[in-house]
Amino acid sequence: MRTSILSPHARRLALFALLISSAVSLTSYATRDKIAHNKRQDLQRQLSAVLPADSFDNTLFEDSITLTGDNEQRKVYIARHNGVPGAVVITATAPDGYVDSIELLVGITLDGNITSVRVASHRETPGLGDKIEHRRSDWISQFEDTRLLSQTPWAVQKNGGDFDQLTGATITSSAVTRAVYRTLEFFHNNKHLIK
Amino acid sequence: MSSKPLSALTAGLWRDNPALVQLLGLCPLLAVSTSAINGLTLGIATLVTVVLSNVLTSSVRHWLIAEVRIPIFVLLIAGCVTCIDLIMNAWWHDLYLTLGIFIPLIITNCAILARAESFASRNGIIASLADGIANGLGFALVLTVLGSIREVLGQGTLLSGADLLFGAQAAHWQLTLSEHFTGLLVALLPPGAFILFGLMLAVRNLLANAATQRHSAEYSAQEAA
Repeated sequence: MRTSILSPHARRLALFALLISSAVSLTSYATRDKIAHNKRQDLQRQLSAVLPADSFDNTLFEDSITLTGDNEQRKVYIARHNGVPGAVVITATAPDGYVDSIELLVGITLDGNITSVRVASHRETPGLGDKIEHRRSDWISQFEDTRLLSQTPWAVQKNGGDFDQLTGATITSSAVTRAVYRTLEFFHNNKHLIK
Repeated sequence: MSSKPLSALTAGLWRDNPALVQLLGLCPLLAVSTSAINGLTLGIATLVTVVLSNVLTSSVRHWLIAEVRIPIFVLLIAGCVTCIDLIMNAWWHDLYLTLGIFIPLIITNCAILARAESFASRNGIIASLADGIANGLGFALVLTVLGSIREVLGQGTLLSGADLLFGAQAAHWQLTLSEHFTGLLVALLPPGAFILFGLMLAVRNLLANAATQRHSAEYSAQEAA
C-alpha cells in the first residue's frame, strides 16, 4: 500500500531533478570553453599586473615551471628580458582564509624583492575581507619592496608585526600575510632552479 | 485588472516588504549591506533571481505535487542561480568579477523560496512576474538603504566603489562627508547591521502605525457623520 502512495511523489521529484540537472549540465557544457578562455585572460592580466610592464618581453603564462615544496605545488612563471630571467611570479595559497583558501600571485625579482602581490581568487566576506583585492583597497600594496628579512616578525600589527590588518578582517589579513612569507621562503629555497 | 500589478508593487515595496515586514532573507541582507553599492549589487542579483524563479515556478505549477513541492522549489532556485552564475561568468565576465561573490549568497535567501511557495505556485505567469519584480525591488531597496546608512556611519562615504558596478565613469561618484570623520567601525560589523536594521524596522512600523491610526480616525469620523 505504502509504496503505491509514495512512488508518484518520488517519480515527480526525480523528474524535476532530472530536468533541472540537465538544464544545469547543458549550461555548464555551453559555457565551459568561454569560461576557460576568460580564466586564461584573467590570469594573463593578473600576471602582468604583478610585475612592472617594461621588465619582461615574454608571454608569462607560456613560460612556467611547477615546483613542489612544503607540501604545496606552486607554479612559477618566469619573466625574461631577451631570454634572461629577471623576475618570477609565484602562485601561493593561503589555506587559512576566513571562508575558503585564498589564491595569490606574488611577483619577486631574482634578487628577492617583492614587486607586488595580487589576489587571484578568494571568497572572503564582501565589504570586509574582500578589501584584499587591489581594486577595492590599497591594503595589498604594503608588501611591495619587502624582502625575506625586512620585517621581523613578519606579521600583522595585531600579531606583533608591522603590517596593517584590514579592519574587521584580521583572519583574512594574517592569512594573506603568512602566505606571502611562505612564498618568499619558497623562493629562497628554490632560486637555483630558475633558469 | 490594472490595479493588481500596482497593488503587487506596493505590497512588495512597503506593505509586505520581504525584508522589512516578513523579515526574510536576513542572512545575505545583513552580511552584504556594508556599502550602498554592495547593497545595490546584491539587490540587482536577487531581483533577477526572484523574477526568474517566480516565472519558472508559476509555469510548472500544474505539475507540482503538494507533498514534494518544497524540494522542487529548492531545486528550481538552486538550478536558476547556478545557471545565472555560469552564464555571467562566460558572457558578462567583467560584471561577474564584481557580482560573482554575491551570487552564492542568493541561494540562501529564503525570501525567494517564500515567493515561490506563497505566490508563484498559485498564480499565473504574468502575476508572478509582477510579484517577482515587486519583491525583488522591495528587497533591493532595503539593501541599498541599509547599505547607505552603514557606509555613511562606518566609513563616512557614500557610493564608494561605484565604478565596480557602473564602469570607470562612476569612479568620481563617491561622496566623502568630512575629511575628519573616519567612521564608526561598529556600523560595518555584524552588531551594527543588527542595530541599524532594527532601527529601520522601528521607523517602518512607526510610519505604518501612524497611517493605520489616520485611516481608523477617518473611518470613525465618517461613522459619526
